[in-house]
Formats: sequence, C-alpha cells, structure tokens
Amino acid sequence: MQAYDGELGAAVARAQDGDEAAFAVAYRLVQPGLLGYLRGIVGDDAEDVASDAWLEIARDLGRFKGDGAGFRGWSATIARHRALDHLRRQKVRPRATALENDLLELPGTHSTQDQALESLSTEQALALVARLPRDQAEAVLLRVIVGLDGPAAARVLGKRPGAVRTATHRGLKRLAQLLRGEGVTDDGSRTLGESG
Amino acid sequence: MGEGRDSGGRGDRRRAMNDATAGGPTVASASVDTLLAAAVRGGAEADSAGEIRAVAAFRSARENGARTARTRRRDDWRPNARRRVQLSVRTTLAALLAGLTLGGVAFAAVGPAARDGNGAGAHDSGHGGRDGRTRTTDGAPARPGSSGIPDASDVSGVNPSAGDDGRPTGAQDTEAHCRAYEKYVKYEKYEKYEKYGRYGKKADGGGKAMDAAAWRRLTEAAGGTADEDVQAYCAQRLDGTGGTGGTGGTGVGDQNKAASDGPKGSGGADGSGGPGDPDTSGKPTASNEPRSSNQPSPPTSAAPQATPSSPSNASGGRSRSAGTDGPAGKN
Repeated sequence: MQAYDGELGAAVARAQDGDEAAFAVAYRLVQPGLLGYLRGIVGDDAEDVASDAWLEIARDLGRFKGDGAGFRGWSATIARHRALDHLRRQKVRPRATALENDLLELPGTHSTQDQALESLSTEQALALVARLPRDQAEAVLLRVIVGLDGPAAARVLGKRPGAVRTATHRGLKRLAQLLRGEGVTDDGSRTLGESG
Repeated sequence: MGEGRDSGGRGDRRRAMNDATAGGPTVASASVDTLLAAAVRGGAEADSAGEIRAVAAFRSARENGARTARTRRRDDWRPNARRRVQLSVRTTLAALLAGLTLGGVAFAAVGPAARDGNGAGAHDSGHGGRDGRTRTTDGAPARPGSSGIPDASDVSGVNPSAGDDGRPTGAQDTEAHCRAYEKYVKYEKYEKYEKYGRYGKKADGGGKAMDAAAWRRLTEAAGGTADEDVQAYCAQRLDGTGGTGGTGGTGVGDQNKAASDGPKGSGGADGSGGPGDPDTSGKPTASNEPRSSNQPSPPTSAAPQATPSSPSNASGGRSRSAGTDGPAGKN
C-alpha cells in the first residue's frame, strides 16, 4: 500500500469526471513508478513506451473502476502491454544497453557496502535489475518500484501469486548479491538456479 | 525486507512485500528493496514534457466524447474481495443450475414410469419388500400438521427433480425417510460389523443408503442440509408416529450398508441430485441417471453441504447441495 494511494484514488475519480488538473496529479503520482518499471523492461525506450501508455490510459480512463492502488495496477498493465508490443516490434531485448558501462564503476566493487548502497544511482540500480531474469526483474519492479501488492503484481503479470512471490524473493536476493559485488563468486548465499 | 533482516525498522515494508529472506549476509544499513526504490524514484526528474503530453491526451479524449465506455473485466480493479466473492458465487450458481437442469430432465423422463411401476410414489431403495412395508406405513398416518413442510418440497417450483411434483404423499414419504435416516444414524457406529450383515438380511443384494431424492426431500423439509437439521426434524416428525417399527428396518439395514459404502460414491454425484437408483435396484425407476454408483450416504457429506459453495466436497456433496440448495433457495 503506497502512501499516496488515497490521494491518487481521489485524483483519478475527479479526472474521470473531467478534471484536468486532477489527471495531472495522477500522472505525477504514477509516472515515476511506471517509468522505472519500463526501464527495467525496455531500457532506453522507456519514455516512448510510457507516452504510448499514457495515451491509452487517458483514452480508457472512463472504463477504469477501482481505487488508487487499483489504478496503479491498471496503468501498469497498460504499460506492460505497450512494452511487450514494443519489444515485439523490435525483436530484441535492449535492456540497459547504455547502462552496462556504469556497472564497471559500481561503487560496491571498490568501497564498503554502506557507501555502495548510499551512492547507488538510478541508472545503476536499474542496470542491476536488468541483469535479473525477466520474470524476477518484472516482479521486483512491480513490487518495489510501482508499489503493487502481491495479488496486483500477479494480476499484471498474469501469473499465480506464489510464482510472483518467488520471483520477487529471488530477484531481491540476487540484487543484494550484485550490490555486494558478488557477480560470480560464491560466499555461501548464492541462489541456486535462478528462475526464468 | 529482502536481505535486510538486521534492519528491524523495515518491518512494515517487509510485511507488505510478504517476503521472508532465507538468510545470508545482510546489506548493512538498508534493505535492498528500499534502496532500489529510493534510487529509482530519486532519479526521476520532473517529467514536465511527459506530463504535458499526457494531459493533452486526456483533454482530447475527453473532448472526443465521454461515451459511456464499458468497463471490461481487465478494467475492474476494485478491491479484490468483492470480485472474488462474486466470481465464486456466480460460478457456484452456474454449476448448481447446470446440475439441477440435468437432473431434472433425467428424472422427469423416468418419473411417470416409476410411479406407475411402484404404485404410490415408491422410494427407491430397490427393496421390494421394504417398499411394500414402507408404503403401508406411509399410508397410515396422514399428518396434517406437518404436511405443509413436505409439500413445500413438492411445490418448490424450481426443483428440477420433477419427481417430487408427482409424488402424491409427500408427508408420508418424508416420514419414511426420517425413519430410515434415524435408523441409519443410530447404527452408523456399527459399521465395523458390516461384514456380518447389519440385520442379517437384506432384501436384495444391493444395499443402498437413502437415495438422493429421499435425502433431498428430507433436507428440504428439515430446512437444512446438516445432520442436525434432519435429525431434529425427523425427531419431531416421528415422535408422533410412535415407533419406527420394523418397517423401516430392512430398508435401513440396506441403508446402513450403503452408508458404510458411502464414500464410494454418491449417487447424486454428477450434480443432478436426481433419485436414480442406479444399479441393483431392480425397480423400474432404474434411472437414466448417468452415474451408476451407489446412493449417497447422507451423513457423510451432509455437513460439508451446509454452505452453498462446496468446491471441496466430493461429488456427492456437491450434487446434493445442488438438489437441495438450488430449488429451495434457503440455507
């Protein structure tokens, strides 16, 4: 449950009545999460895909029924569909192409853990996520960045809640390992057999 | 959450994420998910261009007429509880109606033949002797007071087990059913002696518990599908009659045996709830029922029937509830 879901729900309701300013409020509340999620899927084309998504969101706003959390789920589903369409058109999976270089300078490999964590940038964070298997990446992004709860994330992904829970858990574990700079070495906590 | 178990302050977020990390070294000061969220969100600059585009899209969509667009299933994101309940109720009702329809058609097809064959609304245990005795007993007391209740089962309009409508003496039947049921309950504990034969004799080889139609009538009359309801109702009904006598005995014996066979398979299994006396009956009502297993044994699955939606039941439970809950509409 997001902190602003109440505000979001109210804004969506007003926007459905035609309130333009309310729609802008909804946009501001939702876009960061959507964009972060899309970056994890389509990488650099996230803004374009997000634009497509908002076109559809604005057009179909009248169909939506639900509260603020529901709106997050609904808009994430739309964004995901646009992202998958985009990937199909491109026939590639260009995740974090320009971001990989950042990995080499990831602070975690040269400094203490705390420093690494504190200085983690958006790009670096998303680059790490991009290294996860797709299902783990999506699960983590939807849960952590978009802020959906388990059932909502499962609905967006079209999977069973248990599968999403597992993917999220594994994804976060993997991320922790990556943050510690353990790409390959084994310190006893490596996940055996990642999903996906 | 995530690896950050040591950071106790993340408790709420951990719960929200519903994730229990199995251990391993923790990320010192923050949990991974919080960190990730902060990193990504923090990097989001004010997307003013995107916002302007989005609001423009909103405006044009609004101006293109806010036609009442239909909320498709994928657009319905109302809190889940309502949706799930509706879905399960809808599904259950659909299943019940389907079952009732099938059962009613089947039973109606054989109903008249059955009645002609056995005289006044025979029960279906397929024990000729028992039928005779039962009918005799049934004939005797016409209970005016409680006749209203069994009649309800006859009148229950939607009851697709059309056989009920044709039965002339609902009260008498119910009484006999009660008697049979009581005997069954009473001797249920002696299942282990089944190999010796319950009463040492059976009218025929089959041995069945109360057939589905009889059970259904009983539960309708009793106003509930639980054992307690039926027992209470029967206790009330039979007190006046005085003594079950041996009339129900033989039939009950077979019922008991059938009861112990209970799990084997409920006659009403396929959701039709029709009476069907499937196999050994020798009686003309030998049903067209698709299933051929024994009659349902009421007590074993009565309890689960208490709720209309009984996905966890064995087939018998489901069918019976189809028979009783659907038409009566109560419970």
